[in-house]
Amino acid sequence: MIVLSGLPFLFRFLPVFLVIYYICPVRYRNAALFLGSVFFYATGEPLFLLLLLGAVVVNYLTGRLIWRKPGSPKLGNTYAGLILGVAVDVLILAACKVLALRSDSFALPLGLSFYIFKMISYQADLFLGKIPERPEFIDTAAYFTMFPQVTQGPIMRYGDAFGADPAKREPEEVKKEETKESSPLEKEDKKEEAAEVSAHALRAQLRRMKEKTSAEAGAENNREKHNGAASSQRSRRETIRKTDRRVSPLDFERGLVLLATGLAFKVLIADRIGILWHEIGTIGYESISTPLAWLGAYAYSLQLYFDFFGYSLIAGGVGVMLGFPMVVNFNDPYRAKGIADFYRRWHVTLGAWFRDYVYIPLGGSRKGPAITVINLLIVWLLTGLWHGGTLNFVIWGLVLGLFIISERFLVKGVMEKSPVLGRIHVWLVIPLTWVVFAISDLEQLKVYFCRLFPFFGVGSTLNPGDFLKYLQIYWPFFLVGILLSVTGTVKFLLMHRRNVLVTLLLTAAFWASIYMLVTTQGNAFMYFSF
Amino acid sequence: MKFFRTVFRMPLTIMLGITFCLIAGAALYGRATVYAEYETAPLEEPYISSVFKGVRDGIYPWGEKKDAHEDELQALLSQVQQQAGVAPAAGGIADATANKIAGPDADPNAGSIAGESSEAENKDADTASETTEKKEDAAEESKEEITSAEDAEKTSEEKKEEGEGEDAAKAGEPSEEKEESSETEEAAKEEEENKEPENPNYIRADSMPEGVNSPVMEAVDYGVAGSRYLSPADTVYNTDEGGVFAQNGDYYTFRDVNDVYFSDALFIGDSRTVGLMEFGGMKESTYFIAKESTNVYNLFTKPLIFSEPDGTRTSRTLLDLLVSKQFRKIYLSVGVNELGIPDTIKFYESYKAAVAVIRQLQPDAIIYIQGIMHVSESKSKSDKVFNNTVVVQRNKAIATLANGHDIFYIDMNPDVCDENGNLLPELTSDGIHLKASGYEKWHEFLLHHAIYRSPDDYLGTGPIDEGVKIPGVTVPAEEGE
Repeated sequence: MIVLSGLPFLFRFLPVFLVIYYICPVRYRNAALFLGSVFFYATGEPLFLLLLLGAVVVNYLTGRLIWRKPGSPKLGNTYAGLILGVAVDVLILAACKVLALRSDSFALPLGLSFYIFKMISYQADLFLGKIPERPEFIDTAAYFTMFPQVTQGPIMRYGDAFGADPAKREPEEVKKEETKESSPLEKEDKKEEAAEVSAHALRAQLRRMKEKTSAEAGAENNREKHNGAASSQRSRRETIRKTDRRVSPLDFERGLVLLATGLAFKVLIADRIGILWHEIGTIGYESISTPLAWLGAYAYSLQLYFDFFGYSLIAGGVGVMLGFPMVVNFNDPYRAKGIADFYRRWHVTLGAWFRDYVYIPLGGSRKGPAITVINLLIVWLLTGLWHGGTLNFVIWGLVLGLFIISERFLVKGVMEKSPVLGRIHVWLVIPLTWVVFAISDLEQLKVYFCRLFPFFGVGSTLNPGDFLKYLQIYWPFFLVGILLSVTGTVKFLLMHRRNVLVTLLLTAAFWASIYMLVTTQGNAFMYFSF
Repeated sequence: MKFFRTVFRMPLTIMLGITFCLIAGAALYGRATVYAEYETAPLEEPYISSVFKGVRDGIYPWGEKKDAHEDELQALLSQVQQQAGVAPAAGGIADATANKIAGPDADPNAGSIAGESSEAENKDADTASETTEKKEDAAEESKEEITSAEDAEKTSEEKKEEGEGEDAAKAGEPSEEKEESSETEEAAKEEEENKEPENPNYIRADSMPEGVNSPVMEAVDYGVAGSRYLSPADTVYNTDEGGVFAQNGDYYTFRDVNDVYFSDALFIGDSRTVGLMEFGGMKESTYFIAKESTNVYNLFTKPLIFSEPDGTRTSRTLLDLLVSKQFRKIYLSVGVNELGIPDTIKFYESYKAAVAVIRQLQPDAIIYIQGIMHVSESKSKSDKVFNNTVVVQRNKAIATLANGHDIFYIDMNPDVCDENGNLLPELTSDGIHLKASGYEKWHEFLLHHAIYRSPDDYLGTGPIDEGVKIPGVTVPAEEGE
């Protein structure tokens, strides 16, 4: 149930939860979301639910210390709360990571890295005054635990969905995208929705005016008792709380499009092409041919991209269905013009987190080149450690940091003159760094690189034609994967989602994904293909 | 109006809704008929999943779709199965099992077996008596037969530890071995007993030393003369993998050969055999027909990849191939995909039927039953399905199919496993398959475990490599080690 791309989630948890959620009055939806999320998390890891809930309570309490009215000065409490909250969060994260690394039996609590980062951002945003209204416990709890994001992100900001004015909820990335590329279709929707909202407000105002003129205060009280439902609805409209979750049917449709797309990416592309990477592991790195090693690097890169991208789309789509703004986590990274650009587009919410809460507080690039270099290295070291505690992740992060530094200081001129170097970085260096990311055993990693660059005589090809065999099987996945990476297909699909062909395509893709899910992981007794 | 305007803006919701209803309708419609056999776990799978499973298996709400070729194949297969004297249809497997299990009472010869099993462990005795009861019940239905099979399965499971221990101990101690006379073996022995003795010095199945036909037994010559292939008296064997014994007393040693030996061999198998084909360094010297997810149930009709020494690869079914081309050696290696179907007896019966079909179609071939390779320790510990307890149990079952005459059981597990019978971690990365570099061990094992009964068994054009020690090739009767 805990896997967003699994049958139990898609056909059991999500429909049931959505029905309850939609029936729920708007102002109780955050509470419903919190309870649903607790149930969701408990089905995955009942034990660590306690850790999650404990962290929620602690962070809410320290958050209360930090929060102050906009414009009022920072007090001792503000600092104490921030230090306490962040210290607790960092401690939990570090302790669990170390434990998981040291012991075989201790697995990292589900989604820990993600929800802890959300918590830190919450504390920091409160400190920076980005959350003008004082958060209610239930809103905070729903934000930390919300089930679409609790396992693998995206790391949404509190202000993007809870604290800010509903009209300004759309995160910046989305807004940019929409102003740039949104279709007339979308604008029309938006206009209509906005009109609806203002019509509501207008009607409510009219009603209020009428009520005030026609009835005395006491009678009004009476009436409220009589038709409690109607009047509570009215009062709700009068004060549209900023944390209320309104969902229009069009939101549901938009979410469904995102979900279907994400599911197809995950199941039809990532899981298929992932088999190749798995097979290479089965063969053993020391025995593969050099072409197969390269094929494997690209297979893993595509797998990782469509797996995480697909997952993020599903999570985002479910979020949209729940009335949250779409959180963009991937913004066509393989169309980037360099590694720095790539990581502005890859796992956007994580990159933004490190930018806002590590890089900028450290001084960013304002304190001269030397500090900038150090800051970049710190950020990338932490990024590496965040992904995993083993040495390969440290190497991965530092290599990326060095490339980004070189892009910034050494080869900037070259990259500005011609896009070639940047593209080489994206299409050659990035897949190689993913290999480092993938193989946590350094000995094995060395072997793999020696197969990629066979100048050192490590290992030997046992079957020189192996890559042809795999290319024959997997070329359609490579083709589709690369095409989807280099073209703006996803945005195109989302933009033209009401086109008949797009609808048919998505319907087919959705059922094809379900077919794959049913036939490959449904029944434990049926899935044996050795 | 506004409602409809909204609805028309939600094409995907509408489309998915409609298609979902259609699929759900199909699932409902076929629930009792075509999809009846699909179990659904209500909490894990949606109701509609049976439709998708149906699509996978070529079953649609309006009936099963089969192409003509498949029908032809099935017809041919059942014809061959009939000739070979095995139950033709899958449904018949349970019946066959029950008949075999019930057999001992009907067969006067089998008295000793029945006695043996009642003397054996209580668990076994329980099962045996249960079987007897079942036999008495004339109106026995196949459902209950399946229950009986499950019981047997449980019994075998209870012996987990013992099973592992036995396997680890290379030289099977007879006393311990006797205890494991499960129904499977009874069935096998009974089957073998029904055969006409080919040799006047025929050793009765029940007096046959345990470990016979197994390469991990002690190399003791039981001294039954009568074959020109027998090792001379006073032969001393250096290893405990000395040879195999036929029930008729024939005795063959495993020989060292070179790759030419495989020039008229066919390797049949699943993904593990695919690995041997790709990385064993044998694909230019022998024939392979293999594909992943091959199992003993789909062995003959599933399209496999047929690889010839000249490098051509075609998609063929095993049945087609065995009908159209004769081989002198057949190496069969399946069993890992079947682990998920929790029924050793069914597996055993199907394996037996498969061997019988191969025998029927390839009368001159030596059939090597290759023991299922064990899995790694981490896999075995963590996986309910793929663990060595089950593998050992299944290997014991299929090992009894060997007759030491033209069907041999070879088991390379001692070469690739540690002392506890777990696949060595350095040879595997997924716990189930050998790494590419590990296939050489399999190849080596095969080179050292060849049966050479007569010059007919070697039809290669070139000489068998003289650098390789091949006892008995030129003058079989005079060779030893």
